[in-house]
Amino acid sequence: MNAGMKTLLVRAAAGAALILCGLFNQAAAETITYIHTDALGSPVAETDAAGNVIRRTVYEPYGAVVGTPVADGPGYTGHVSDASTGLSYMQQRYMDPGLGMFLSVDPVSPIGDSVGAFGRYRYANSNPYRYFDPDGRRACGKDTGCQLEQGALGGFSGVGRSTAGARSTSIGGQRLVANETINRSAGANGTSELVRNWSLSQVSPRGGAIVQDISVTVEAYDRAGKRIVGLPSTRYWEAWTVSPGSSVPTPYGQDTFKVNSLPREWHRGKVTWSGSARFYEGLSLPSSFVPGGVRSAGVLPSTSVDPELSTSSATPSVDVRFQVEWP
Amino acid sequence: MGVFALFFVLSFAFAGGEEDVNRSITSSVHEIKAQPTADGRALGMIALFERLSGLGKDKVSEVNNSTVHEIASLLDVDGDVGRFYASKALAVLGCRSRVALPLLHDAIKKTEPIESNLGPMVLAPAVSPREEIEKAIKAIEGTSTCELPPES
Repeated sequence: MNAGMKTLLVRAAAGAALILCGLFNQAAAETITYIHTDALGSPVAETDAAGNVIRRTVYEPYGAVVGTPVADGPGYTGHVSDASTGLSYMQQRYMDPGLGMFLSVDPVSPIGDSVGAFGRYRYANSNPYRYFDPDGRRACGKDTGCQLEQGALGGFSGVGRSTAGARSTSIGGQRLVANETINRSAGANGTSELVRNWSLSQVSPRGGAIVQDISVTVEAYDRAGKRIVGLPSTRYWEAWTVSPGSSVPTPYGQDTFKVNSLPREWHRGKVTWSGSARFYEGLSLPSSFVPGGVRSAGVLPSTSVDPELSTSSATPSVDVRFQVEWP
Repeated sequence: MGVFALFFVLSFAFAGGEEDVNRSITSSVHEIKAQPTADGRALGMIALFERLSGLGKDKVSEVNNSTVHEIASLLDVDGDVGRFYASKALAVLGCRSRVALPLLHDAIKKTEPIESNLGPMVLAPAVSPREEIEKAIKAIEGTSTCELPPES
């Protein structure tokens, strides 16, 4: 038996002993700790099974811990903190809470729809109260769109990013453009509304259709904090038609994500719209698309049956995601 | 070609700072109605709405009752499509559109309600002319009364 194999066996035996020891200890004295987070996902308090607060953590705006040493494990905005360096590991990059900046350059190519996107080390649009960064590549916030989109226009390739605002994706020079506006507190229980208007960057000679595959899911809790089970969800396809020689869908180019009313017993929760959209050059909508076919699509042609469209003459998909939370 | 001419007229009419905003909007509405196709009229209404959205407060305050009535006349163009875009345009003008409230209330009776229920929860449909009319009424009634300029 060589030395390497011997070391491996010793380590395996030590690991097994540790696991057994851990199981024994767990059985002997199991303690339950509840972790509470703030709106950005930072753990700010821990309570025991009796509801007593056993630890509080206070963060500076960019995540530096106030008054206590940094501990290994989930920290600022839910990302793993490194006790030895004080850095926050955000998957794609490390962020220095002391500096309020990333330590390496943004892996996402700069895009022109936001001047701030050219800040290659900037964290969360320099607005850490409103935004967080889920993976070191994009700024997201409560009630904002938060998506990465595939794009290739005039030599630009890679991944773009955006919250609300203008964004686009393209193929062969044609771009599918989404102009988004968020209206705060326009929905039930103070939730936000997202209104999006689709257009193309240039005239489509053959016309076609923008088709969006969208799913809506709900998560809700009662006043006692118990998750409500059996909540409905839906998935449907809706379309906006573009006439030959036009760059704007007609008669409508709008999409709306908004909650009009919520059951009183849903004390807390969130609604998530997620899916993707493409522009299909030259597409005549299949007969399954009927105006008003799906109530959520309103008067748009829509269907709840997957149309299984060929993407051979379509733009790359734009990821669509919007989430509202209450209270 | 007609649509491009319409866009040109709309762009030109709103771009000039010296241009009378009432005359510009009125001529735009006439251009929209003169379009031979529903597509052209829809594109014209989209362009009108976008241009109105870009007006500054000072320009909005110059809009008079006669012009509001012109915009409101689009409520009768192409059914739901006209009601959808005219409502959006009137909402942009806020209290300036107060004189159009009765027409909006009439228009709402002509649109079908779309109930988008997901279990016990109600979502807003992606496109609902009735919701746009309701939003416009809310936007107009929600703004404080504003002094309208004398009719020209």
